Amino acid sequence: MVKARTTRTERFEDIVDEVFEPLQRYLYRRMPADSVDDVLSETLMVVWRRLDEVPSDASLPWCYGVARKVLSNHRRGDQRRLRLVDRLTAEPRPVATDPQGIDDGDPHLEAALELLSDQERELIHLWAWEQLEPREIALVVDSTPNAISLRLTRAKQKLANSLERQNRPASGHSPDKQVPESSVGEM
Amino acid sequence: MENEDLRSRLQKLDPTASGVEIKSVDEESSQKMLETIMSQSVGSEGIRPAWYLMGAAAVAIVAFGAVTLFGSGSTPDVAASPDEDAVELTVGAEDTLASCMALTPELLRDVPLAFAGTVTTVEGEYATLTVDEWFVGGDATTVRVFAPDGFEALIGSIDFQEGKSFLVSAYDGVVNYCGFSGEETPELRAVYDAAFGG
Repeated sequence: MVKARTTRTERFEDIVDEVFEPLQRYLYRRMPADSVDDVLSETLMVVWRRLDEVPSDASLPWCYGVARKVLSNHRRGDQRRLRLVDRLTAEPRPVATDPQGIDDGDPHLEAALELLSDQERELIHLWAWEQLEPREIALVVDSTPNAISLRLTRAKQKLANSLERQNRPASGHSPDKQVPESSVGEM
Repeated sequence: MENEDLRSRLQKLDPTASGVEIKSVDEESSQKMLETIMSQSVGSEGIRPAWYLMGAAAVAIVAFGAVTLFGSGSTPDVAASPDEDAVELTVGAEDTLASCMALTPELLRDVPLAFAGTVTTVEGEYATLTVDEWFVGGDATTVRVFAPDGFEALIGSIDFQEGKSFLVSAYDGVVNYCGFSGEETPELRAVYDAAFGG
């Protein structure tokens, strides 16, 4: 039994070595910093509890999937609790800051991302930020690699089309007239 | 636009690109977290999960109401259940839970109703659970939780979500959700098992 426990502990520690920092980045990208430790801890607790289910060749995507659910759980719980507290106290609540809000970023790309659905945007983020392949993203979001490939391709195409529209001069402009910078940003 | 160009532009929007403090697994606080997790094996007993300790907002909720189990004598305003044997629960304004006591098997052992269930649906003001295991007090296959208008968030204090498993206990028609009921975790399960001899 001691040996089994040791093996279990060792396996967990190996997985933690691999996922500990990427999981933090995943969470920092999607939630306020002051809650990251809580969600990280809860995620790793699930990993510890379900250690036998962690695929040896895809530990990180699997852990992202757990983190995604834990995060979703926290968001829903927070929203519900805050709604009730708001109702009971009738005091205004400060507007939550968007953890993904970036100053001086890439306004065209940000605008294009806003046109995607939440699900499409998350696929794009998993692909670009976590640098996952479709088969890995499928593990995160409980889907199939084929479905993810199709959805990811579609989302990228939507982004590209959107960016192209933004870069295209507005109709009605005379070709010899320069489009003001501010107008381009508003298209 | 090429894939790599797009990915490269997206990576510049990465909120962590501007620098966040990523803790190393070797840091003392990280090691402490991991030790806590690894000490809470499924077989451990009486460990109170830290994330079930309720924050200030949730404590405020406790002060205003409790999850109420409608047994005989109560008149829950619920729609007819598709399962005639279903136990009906509701979230009401009765302030039967004045404070959060520490969860122990000894305290839990005295509750007249306790079960493990999986949420099958959450629709509007209703959450429906399929009972996976009765510890005490019933044999229905389904439990429905109803939150009257204005108290939906009290369901949220347990945060029933479809597909997730919960451990729920009730005393005298009232579910003590203040750590006594919640999503199934090894810690909560260990307390239930210790209380009911699982």
